[in-house]
Amino acid sequence: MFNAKNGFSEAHVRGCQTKRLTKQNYAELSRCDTLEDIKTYLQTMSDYSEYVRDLQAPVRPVDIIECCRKRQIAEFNICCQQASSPLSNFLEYLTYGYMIDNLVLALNGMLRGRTTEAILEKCSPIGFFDSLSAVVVSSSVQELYRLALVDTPLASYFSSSIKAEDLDELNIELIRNVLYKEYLQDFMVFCNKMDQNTRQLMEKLLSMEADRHAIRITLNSFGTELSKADRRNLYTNFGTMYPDGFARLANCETVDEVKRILVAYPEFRELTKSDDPHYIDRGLRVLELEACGQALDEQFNFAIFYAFVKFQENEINNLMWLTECVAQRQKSSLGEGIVYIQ
Amino acid sequence: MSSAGARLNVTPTVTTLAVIKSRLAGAQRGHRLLKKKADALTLRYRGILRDIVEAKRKLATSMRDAHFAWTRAKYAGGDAVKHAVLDGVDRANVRVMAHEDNVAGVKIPKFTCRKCGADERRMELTGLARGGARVREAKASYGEAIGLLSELASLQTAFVTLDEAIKTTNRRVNALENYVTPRLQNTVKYILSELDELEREEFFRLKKVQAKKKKDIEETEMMEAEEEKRITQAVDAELRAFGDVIGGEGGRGAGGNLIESEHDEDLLF
Amino acid sequence: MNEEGSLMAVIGDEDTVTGFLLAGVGHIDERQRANYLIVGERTTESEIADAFKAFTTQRDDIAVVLITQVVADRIRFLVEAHARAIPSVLEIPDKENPYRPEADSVLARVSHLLGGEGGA
Repeated sequence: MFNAKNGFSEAHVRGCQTKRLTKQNYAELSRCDTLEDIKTYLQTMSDYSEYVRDLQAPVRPVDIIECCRKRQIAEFNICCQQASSPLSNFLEYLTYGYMIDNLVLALNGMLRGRTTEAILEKCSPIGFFDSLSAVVVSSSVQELYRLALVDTPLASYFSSSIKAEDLDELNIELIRNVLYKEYLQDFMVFCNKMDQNTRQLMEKLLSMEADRHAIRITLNSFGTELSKADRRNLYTNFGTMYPDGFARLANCETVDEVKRILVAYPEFRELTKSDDPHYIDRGLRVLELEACGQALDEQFNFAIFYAFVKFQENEINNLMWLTECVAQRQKSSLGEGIVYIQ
Repeated sequence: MSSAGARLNVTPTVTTLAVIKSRLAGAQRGHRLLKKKADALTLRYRGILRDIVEAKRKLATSMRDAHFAWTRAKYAGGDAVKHAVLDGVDRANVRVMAHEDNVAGVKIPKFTCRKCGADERRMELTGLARGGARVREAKASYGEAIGLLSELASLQTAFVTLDEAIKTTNRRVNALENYVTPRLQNTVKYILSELDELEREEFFRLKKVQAKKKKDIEETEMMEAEEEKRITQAVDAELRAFGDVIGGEGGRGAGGNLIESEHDEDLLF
Repeated sequence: MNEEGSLMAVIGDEDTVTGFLLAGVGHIDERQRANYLIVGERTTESEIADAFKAFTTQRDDIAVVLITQVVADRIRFLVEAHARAIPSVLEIPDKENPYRPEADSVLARVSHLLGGEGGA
């Protein structure tokens, strides 16, 4: 039943997944000393061949990342084209995160009077929605909501936590994160209506994402004007740490306090073992990838698509780090930003 | 020297000489002072040159760190962070204040960096869920680089200003050394020589006058002598004629004859 | 110099400019003039030259102009011709190209002078 409907998309994802860069690839890429070397390697030794082939010297990190994005979008679009409901709905949910970023971009651009082209150029194609350009040309936030947002899936995220009328008053980052929280909660509700495999796997993955969202916001809000009540308001209503852990996170003021909370959760204990304040962030990424790796081991579920998108993003991040380190002659820091699981 | 021999166009009098001499003294004092100023400026200038090289080297490291800090922020926060920064530009928080530093009378602008507190917190939530801490680190890192840059800007401005000031001062020193002073000196020489000349002329004139006087006297004497001679001759001739008439005797030893004849005459009368 | 202090201007690649904007250098005034220029692939020499001229000669609210060396190389003649003390033009390294002291207009002049003095 699953295969009949979604077999093609699943096969596509698994096919793409086998072509991900491996530990071996990263080790070899790490030996490159110039971006031209990296380009040549990617062209001959990886599935990026057709994307990087036309790059002209001098190659810059952004050029390579641009190629990666193209591949990501192409791969994702193939999934979408072949999908039918409910997989298509699930895949749409995967794009909402990008949509939120695009909306925030457009909103910010509109408030500052930027031109439509300048804004649309920056928007991610994955999260593109038809009324995006209408956001930019709206003259007021009320108009924006009425013309551009009402028909998008993001509309429902506004009503509950933030009012559309407040859009020009609120800090743009608050809007972004409230929307993201609403999105995670909505996605969770959606997944609970799926088949059992998907439900179980997605619950685990989304809980982890919810925890990660909360922990990162906590860590990043130290020393900023974000009030504890506002911080609290950005946490989701589910998650491994929900509700006690979140309640305690809301009152943290230092990295050490966060660590003391995390230590109580077996899955996060590993994160507290380093003195580097950024170690937690990196550790969370590793945990996410591991969970995604496990999801890919299972069959007949939608979670593999979620995992697939995360792996794509991870690979782009890795390559971005790799190319930047090489370009800036900071290769001693390579290990800090390349994350992979075997 | 091209200006060798050149001088001011003045009337060579003792008064002018005094004026020119005081001007020359002024020029020489000015030269000494300007030379001192140029030395002070050059000393500061060399110090600045070394500081610039040092600051540029520090800047290279600082910028490298700042760039990498920003790369970390972008890695942690993705493009959203970049767009948030680019779209968040409004009024500048970082301002450059200019003060003036004084080196040997040359005003050198000096920059210091100031952060406007009011706007400082505007962007601090950037990357709240992703990379916020890294973004703040990058911000601090660029802040450090900006501190260094304003220092470097001060040095560089001082460099340009001092360079200009030293050139001007050196031009003045050179002008005094090679143009003004020699001209004044030449003028003094000229006046002195003119005055000498005048003196010599005066002397010559006096001599001439004296000579003339002498000549006049001599001439008078000569004329008197001639007159006497003429008279004597006339008398003589008369006497001779008289003698001829008397004795028919030739003009042999007229004087003696004259006296004789006079005596004779005395005797006769 | 006004009371609020003057501005720093930046000309460079996107990352360099973004870094300085992050630090709070960026300024867009009432007339929508920005004090920075992001030099991308499509930016032409004359656009860079116009921005440089605007920052160095036309605007009086800018005291320091930062320009990445790679961009400065593209309008080297203008950078060398800038002889005024204010605004001060500073060449800075971008992230991909290490700083080359020998290409820096001011530093070249400085090291020439220092070298000359060392020999004397």
